[in-house]
Amino acid sequence: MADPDSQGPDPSQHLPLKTHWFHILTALSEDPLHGSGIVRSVLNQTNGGLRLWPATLYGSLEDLANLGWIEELTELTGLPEGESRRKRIYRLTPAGENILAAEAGRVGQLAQTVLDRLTSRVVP
Amino acid sequence: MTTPPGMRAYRALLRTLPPLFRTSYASEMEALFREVVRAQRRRGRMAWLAAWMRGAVDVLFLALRLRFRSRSGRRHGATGGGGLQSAVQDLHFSLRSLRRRPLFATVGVLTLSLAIGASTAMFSVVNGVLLKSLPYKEPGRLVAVWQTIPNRLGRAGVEGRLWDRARLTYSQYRDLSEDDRIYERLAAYRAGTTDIATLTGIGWPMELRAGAASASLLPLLGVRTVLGRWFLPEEEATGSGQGGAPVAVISHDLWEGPFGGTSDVIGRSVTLDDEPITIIGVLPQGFRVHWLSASFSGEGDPGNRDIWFPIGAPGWPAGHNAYSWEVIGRMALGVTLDEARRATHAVLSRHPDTRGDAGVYPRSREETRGLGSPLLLLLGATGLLLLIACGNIATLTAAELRGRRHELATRSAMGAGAWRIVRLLMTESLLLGLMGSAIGAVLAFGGTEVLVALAPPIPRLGEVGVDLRVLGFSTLLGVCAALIFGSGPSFAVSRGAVGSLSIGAVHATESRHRFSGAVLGIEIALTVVLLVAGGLLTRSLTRLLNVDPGFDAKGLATVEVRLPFSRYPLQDPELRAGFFQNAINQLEGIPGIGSVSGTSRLPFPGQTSNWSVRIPGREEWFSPLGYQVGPGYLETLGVPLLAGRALAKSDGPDASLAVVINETMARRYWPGESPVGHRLEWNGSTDPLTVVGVVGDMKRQALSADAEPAFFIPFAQHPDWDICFVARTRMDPPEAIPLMGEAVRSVDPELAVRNATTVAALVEDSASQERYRALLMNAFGILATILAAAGVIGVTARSVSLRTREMGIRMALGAQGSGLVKATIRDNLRIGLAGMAIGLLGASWASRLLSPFLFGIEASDLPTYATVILLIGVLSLSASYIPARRISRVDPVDVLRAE
Repeated sequence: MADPDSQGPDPSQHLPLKTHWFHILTALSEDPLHGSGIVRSVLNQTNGGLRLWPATLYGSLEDLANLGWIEELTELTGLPEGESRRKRIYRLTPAGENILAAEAGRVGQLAQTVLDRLTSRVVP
Repeated sequence: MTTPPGMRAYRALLRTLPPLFRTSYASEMEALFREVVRAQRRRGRMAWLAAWMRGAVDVLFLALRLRFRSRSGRRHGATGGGGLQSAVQDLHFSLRSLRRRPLFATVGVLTLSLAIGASTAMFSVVNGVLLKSLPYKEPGRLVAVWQTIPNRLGRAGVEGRLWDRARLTYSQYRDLSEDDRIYERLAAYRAGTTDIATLTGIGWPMELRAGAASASLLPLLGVRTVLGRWFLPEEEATGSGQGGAPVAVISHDLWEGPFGGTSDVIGRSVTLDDEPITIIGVLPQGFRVHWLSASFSGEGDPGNRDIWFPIGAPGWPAGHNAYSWEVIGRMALGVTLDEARRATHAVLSRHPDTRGDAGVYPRSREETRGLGSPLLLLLGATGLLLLIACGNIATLTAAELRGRRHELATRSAMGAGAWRIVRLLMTESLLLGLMGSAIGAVLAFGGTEVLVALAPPIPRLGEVGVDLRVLGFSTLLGVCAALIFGSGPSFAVSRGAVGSLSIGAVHATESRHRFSGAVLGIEIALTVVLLVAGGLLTRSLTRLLNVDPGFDAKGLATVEVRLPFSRYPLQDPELRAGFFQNAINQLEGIPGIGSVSGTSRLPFPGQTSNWSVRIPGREEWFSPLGYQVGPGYLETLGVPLLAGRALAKSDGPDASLAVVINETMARRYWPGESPVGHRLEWNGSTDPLTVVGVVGDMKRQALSADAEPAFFIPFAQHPDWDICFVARTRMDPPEAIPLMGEAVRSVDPELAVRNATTVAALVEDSASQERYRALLMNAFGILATILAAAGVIGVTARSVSLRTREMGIRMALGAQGSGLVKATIRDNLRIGLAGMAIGLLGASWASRLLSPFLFGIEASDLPTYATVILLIGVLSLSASYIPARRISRVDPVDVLRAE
């Protein structure tokens, strides 16, 4: 999915984000993390509702990296080769931050709409 | 750190991923999975298994997605519609689709579940008996220690057989256990199938299966008593083999049964064989130690004993020079089997009791000696069954897909990617596999119980059960079978499906028809193999049961007692002879009973005592089988008298010692002359015996065995403690048995009566292994037949309905309906014949594996093959006729209108 235009300014074509992708990006929005860190973080932020199994996780990570939304940190920190093989650390790219923000905005708007409707119905 | 099998399997699974992806992520995925699994294992095996399955599905889905994506050229948006939502959608769709085709779904699920149920049940038995390690601590270091005993002249042992697994004497065992460099611990025990202790004072007198063991046995096995304690070394006999303490440890079952399961049983004094014995401990549930000698002689031994005494306890002396102790050893760390054998030989060779070599074998292998190949053979049979089931899934799916070409082509035309379509089809297969596995697992639980209940008494049968490993195995088997055999065709179809609505369908149909034909042919071939195997074993069993045992077993009833040493001491043979005579008198008083007599041992199940005899003037000692028999015993059994006279009442204790010998003994020891009147030296008495008569041979222990030399001496002259009374009854033998028990007990109410049964049953039981094999093989053969028939019917029905259009057109052009029916049947018959030919070739090869288990027939037994050929012929004819008949009812007008 390394289409160059997918990193373009219009992220809306990818919205709504896949659930896995959304949670992985959210997990990375705080700190760079490695695989098991992401799993734990996603478990936390979903109150244990979503467990990412290894294949799903790394399949998604590769997709996200191909889209240019996340990147591996290992090459940048210059860890020795053997070390980097064992633990890849991922962090959000600016494009990833954009798409996450866009998704958060979309979800937030949707949530607001729902809340507005519900309250306006309950109050009178 | 060693890799647990689960991780190894996961690693293997990762190989399904594309290589590029694998090199990047495999090690991390593995590490992550290890974490998950470790966390789940703490929550129990079920959670662990669930995690493993979930992880496996996770990898497989990714593998398919990645591989399919790379093949379909990385089209934009073809990320496969992953995610839970579409998976649930797929599931809904598949369920609906399966529900729309109930016949396909039912046949598919049933086929799979039957095969999985059968193979899982069989695997549980194999797993429990052969694969599971012994239920002791570190079973890998446990060995059985034997010695070989050549006969007195240094040649091979008894009657030409070398005893390569002779037991040790107590004194040999003591010598061996002094050296702790080779064996961390050694233990000796004796628990023969005839070792019985009679418990009195609690309700009816009860016969307990008893054993004696050294104090080291339980610590060696790493087993603890659940209550009280095991024997202390000082409670065991001293070096002389005497002087053990009057204490006993009882089994869990005995404790819960007659002793009520209360803790005050510890310290309780009971009467066993008229001796006061104190109970000091209770063994854990299911504790068993197999008396290996029993299974070597062909007897079954379930291994559990009701009560254990220390060696040398009253009634359990370790007789001097008695080769009666089986020895089990725990090798010290780092010692190899070979070193152990050499060191054991070195110690034993210095001992006066040693006559041959030492034998040291892994205990686990000894416990199941001779059981492996028959069980594996049956497991192999279920493997064939599974293959047939897979074939059915493949042909059924292929036939289904042919029928769904339109639907799939339409989906494809409406924009569903090839991956999407394959995923739909795979979800269906997966669903089929899961349902098949679930029902198969239920069948496996029932099936295992049936297999165990039917089984002859083989060691470790009590440890057989459907465990999680077995269940996981079966689930995986079912899902994989369904996925592979169900999806194979779907890949083929999905390629063709894109773009082709109906053009070119004829061509594809042709090749797929050939595929189904080939698979059905193989199924029929496999069925032939199983049916031939079942047929051979059945014919062999019939032959075996028709063997003349040398006596007339019909109408004979028997009860057995053992006289306790304490009340019938060695020095008072008159007491035993008196009991015998009184019991015979009582038995004869039963109305409706015919002739009555007794013997020390019946020919079936066939415990033996080999006695040494010598012909005066000759150097060689022989070891024929010896029996003490009452007057009229051989006549009661219906053994023909060939020469001389039978033993009579007049052969009493004061008369000269008389002996009747069998034909084989006469022929072997006095070739070419009549033995009547000759003398015989016997190590049981100082006076020589005089041969007074010759009788016909009787089979012993197994109907397939050759007759052995045997001799019969009057019970009154040498009374034994073991007595089997036999009666030829005029009433139904089972009715006579309780009356006989009462009659015997009226002479000595303290005795427990055992083995009250008919002699015919004892003879039949001797063929129980053969019966089990034949029964199972036939059951598998019948299952295979049903599955193969279902396959043929299913595929024919489907192809007939698909060819309705073709048939309609042909009929419109003037073809006869009956001719078309014939053509369809001819097609199937051709497949049937080809399958049969391959199957016969396979069977003639496979039956060579069977030949060690065959008796009285050749592996190339013609009637068996002929029957199978006939059966398969009829089967493939009728299985194709039923659906094919529909063709003749096709109305060409309807067909053309539908176009």
